Amino acid sequence: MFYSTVEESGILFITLTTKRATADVSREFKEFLVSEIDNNGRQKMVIDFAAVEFVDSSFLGAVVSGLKKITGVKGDIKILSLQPPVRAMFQLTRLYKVFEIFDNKQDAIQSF
Amino acid sequence: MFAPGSRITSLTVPGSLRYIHCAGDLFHTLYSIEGELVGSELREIFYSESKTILYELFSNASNHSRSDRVTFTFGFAEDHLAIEVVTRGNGFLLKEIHTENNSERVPLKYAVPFPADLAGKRITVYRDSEYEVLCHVNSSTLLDFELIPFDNPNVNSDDVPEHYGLLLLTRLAREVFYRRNDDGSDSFWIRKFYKKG
Repeated sequence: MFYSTVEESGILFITLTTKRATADVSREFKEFLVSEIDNNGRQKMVIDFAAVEFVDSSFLGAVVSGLKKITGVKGDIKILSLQPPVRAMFQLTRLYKVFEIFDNKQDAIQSF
Repeated sequence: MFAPGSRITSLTVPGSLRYIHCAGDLFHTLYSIEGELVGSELREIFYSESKTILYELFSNASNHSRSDRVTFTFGFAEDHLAIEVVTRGNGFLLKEIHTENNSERVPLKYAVPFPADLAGKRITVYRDSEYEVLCHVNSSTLLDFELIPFDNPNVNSDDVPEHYGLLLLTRLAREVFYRRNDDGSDSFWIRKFYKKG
């Protein structure tokens, strides 16, 4: 498993535990996000990228799919702890304009 | 496509996404040897951008061509890096996207070999509120791609695409080509110059 989850303050925290979040796991991650929204009624999620050193566009596409799904139920996904190469990908794809990105967990919690 | 004097290394792996890191790991090793060609201040950025290109090329090859083998060739020249990815499967499907110019009709799709009357035309294959990627049809078997920036900073999740492959390739490399080769294989290749990217 390349991620772990914990619920806190009504928010699902998803911690990525892989160094490389890439196309080989993007479909599984998208299905997980969609399932949490559709089946478990999640409206607040935080994805913690602290362990991730590299992300590709397929994985970011999965996160965007989750965002589109969750905003449809008036929810949101926040992003936590980007390493510089991952932050660069958010900038290249301009997703930093779409997601709220935080450097610490408390700020992410308070943002909802 | 490889400049004379380039130091060339190839790797063939199965077309499954499970092998996506093989080419990345080889590139990491090669770059530790050849990276001195890149100016020291830009070395980390160039590496990171090249790695992103590599993963986009592999994802495209695996997801779209359905080739059982993918061959990567890296060529380190004096002033640029060239990467070629060769597959044997479905060729590139040239898909027009909706724009204000074609909103009244279904966007067109062309399989390789592309119709002869398409030669010389430019087709929009990606667009968001800030960028457009144009595909230039050079011939029935040769395409190149060009990034066109817009000046519109308004982005929201409704108009953010979920597929960025061609955007990233054209943002990170100066030259991006696709070709159906004489032996029936398909090549995507890029050139990324050391100083200007």
